[in-house]
Amino acid sequence: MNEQDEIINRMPIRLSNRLSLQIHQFPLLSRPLQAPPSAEASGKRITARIKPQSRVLEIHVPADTRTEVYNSERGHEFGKGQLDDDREKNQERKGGKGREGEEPRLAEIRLRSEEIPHRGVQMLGIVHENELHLHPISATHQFRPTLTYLDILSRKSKRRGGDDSDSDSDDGPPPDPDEPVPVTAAKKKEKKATAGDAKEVQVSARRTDDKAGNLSQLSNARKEMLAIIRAEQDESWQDLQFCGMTTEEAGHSLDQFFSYRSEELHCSTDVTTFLTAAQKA
Amino acid sequence: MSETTSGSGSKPKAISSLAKRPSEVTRQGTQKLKFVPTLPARRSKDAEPVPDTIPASSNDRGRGRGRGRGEGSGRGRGGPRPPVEMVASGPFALGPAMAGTSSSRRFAQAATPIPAPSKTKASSLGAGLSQTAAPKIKREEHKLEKDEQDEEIYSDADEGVEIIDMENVGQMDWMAPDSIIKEKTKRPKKEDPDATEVNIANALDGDEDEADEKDLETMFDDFNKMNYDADNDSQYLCLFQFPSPFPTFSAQLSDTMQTDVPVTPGSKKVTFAPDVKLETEDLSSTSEVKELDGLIGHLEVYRSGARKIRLGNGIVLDVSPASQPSFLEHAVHLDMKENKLAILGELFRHYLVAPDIDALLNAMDALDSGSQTVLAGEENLIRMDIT
Repeated sequence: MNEQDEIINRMPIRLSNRLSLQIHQFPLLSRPLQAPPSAEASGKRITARIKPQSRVLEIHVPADTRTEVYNSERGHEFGKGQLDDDREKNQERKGGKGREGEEPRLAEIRLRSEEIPHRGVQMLGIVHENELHLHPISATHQFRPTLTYLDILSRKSKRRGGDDSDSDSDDGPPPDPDEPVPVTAAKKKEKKATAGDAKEVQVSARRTDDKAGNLSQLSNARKEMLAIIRAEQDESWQDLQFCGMTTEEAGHSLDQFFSYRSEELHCSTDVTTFLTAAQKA
Repeated sequence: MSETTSGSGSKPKAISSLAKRPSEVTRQGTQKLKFVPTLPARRSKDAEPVPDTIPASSNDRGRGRGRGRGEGSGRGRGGPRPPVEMVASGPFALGPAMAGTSSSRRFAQAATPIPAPSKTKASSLGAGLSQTAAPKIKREEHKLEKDEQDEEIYSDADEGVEIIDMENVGQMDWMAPDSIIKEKTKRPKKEDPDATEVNIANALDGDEDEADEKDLETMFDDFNKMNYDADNDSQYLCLFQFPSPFPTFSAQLSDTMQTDVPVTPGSKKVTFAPDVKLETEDLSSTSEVKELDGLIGHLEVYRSGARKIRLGNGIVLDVSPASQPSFLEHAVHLDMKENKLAILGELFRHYLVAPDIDALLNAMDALDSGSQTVLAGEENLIRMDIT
């Protein structure tokens, strides 16, 4: 840069790492995350829950159920689907809110998180009193609505409707393209000859020798994936208290974010570590 | 929309035939929905539907409603909404029971507003709306510059029809959608032949530079804004993406460290600077995250708009604006001990931090040359590069 480029402001930078910070992204949302005023008026709040081992979070946002913008019949239909889906996955909310007489309805939007791997080191910075406070971020999650209740409903309608329609919900995972075409050992085929020639042909095919001797036809990678999915489904949810931006708890956390000690920290690495570490990696 | 053709083949009375409805059955055996073009059908009433004040082309216009707004003023009546006597049409025409499964549903085109299942009249459709705008995230504030003079004037509303400017739809209700922001480009009038050359040059390069300038400017304003806005001090949360590995910091080593270090079993390095509080230091056996709290460097803001971060040990980093996401982002504190999820705020800007290349290369040179010992008599020789 030019030599004449003068500094017009110089801000000290402070570092702290007391908290466990995360970034939550909502790619499909361009408005603040709030419960609609009609829902807040009836006492509904945003809630959250987490599966700590699988690192999955869910945020439940109450939906706007006014008749102008909400279709009640579909709401009931989906609500039933959601209840069934929850029962299947053992995530039913225990301790009903005393509305067991009423039909369930879909009154909330469930946003499910997916962890995004970091590139580089992410830091959250806030300028406070002419000082930049930095704090490392431990994880980034992206939230999208889950519509798993639709799966249940479509499964029901498929069972009701078509007999011969392809229902792949009950079959196992689709065949692995990497694996050789699975052929069971000693398969026999019978070919009925056309009229005139009463010939019977028997064909048998034998699978080539498989060293791994896998009976389940699944590669290791797929097994691992299935194991991860199963472990995640088996883990139970832990409820979290969701504190919005304006609450006291959030203010308290924000206070803990800032760095308070003004001593200088000693740096033990150099600029060159950026390159040398990349070379080693 | 393949089923429209069969309906329109009959003799026209200026109305496509609605009497003949070939029943179509979906694969699942339910009644397939018939797309009814132009005039809405009356299921249980005899009278012909509304006369051709809504000609066939109006539906196409309806699709392009937002774009063709300029021409909409002439047909202000027919454009935004159909007349008051709403007749059921589209997917909900046959009532909720016949709506069919989700797979066979065909949504009518955007022109037909979907009536509520209870079939309320049109006049009350807009009645329950809250007339408040939906909240917006902070980042978008500066984009909404409405030109007052450009608001169009429509013909008077009559018979309970409400004329709504498409750009104002977002303000009708909390749940109303956001309308696409119209870019009002103000191009200089090219009437002057002498100035055309200059204008063309502007037209070509203007857009590219604008984007860059805007970025730098906004970054420029950011830090100033964040600085001087003393009232709302900590509302601007920024994400800095540093290269990895982040330089390691540790609490200050005092001079008397060697004599002061107590020998505690299992701990590697314990520093006891005089002003460090003991309880916050991590005295247990090597945990990976040591608590840090203190000054690490400075952020320098230059007049040209550049930003540099200067940390200890000669580390200089450049700060540049990263691509800004258009969606919502929260900075969140997850406290597993108390099962609390506290939102610290919405992220305002993203910045990308990279090592300053000059400083980095100089340091690499120094590192390389430092590791080579200079033998006597070699100073005049050129070293062969064997890397």
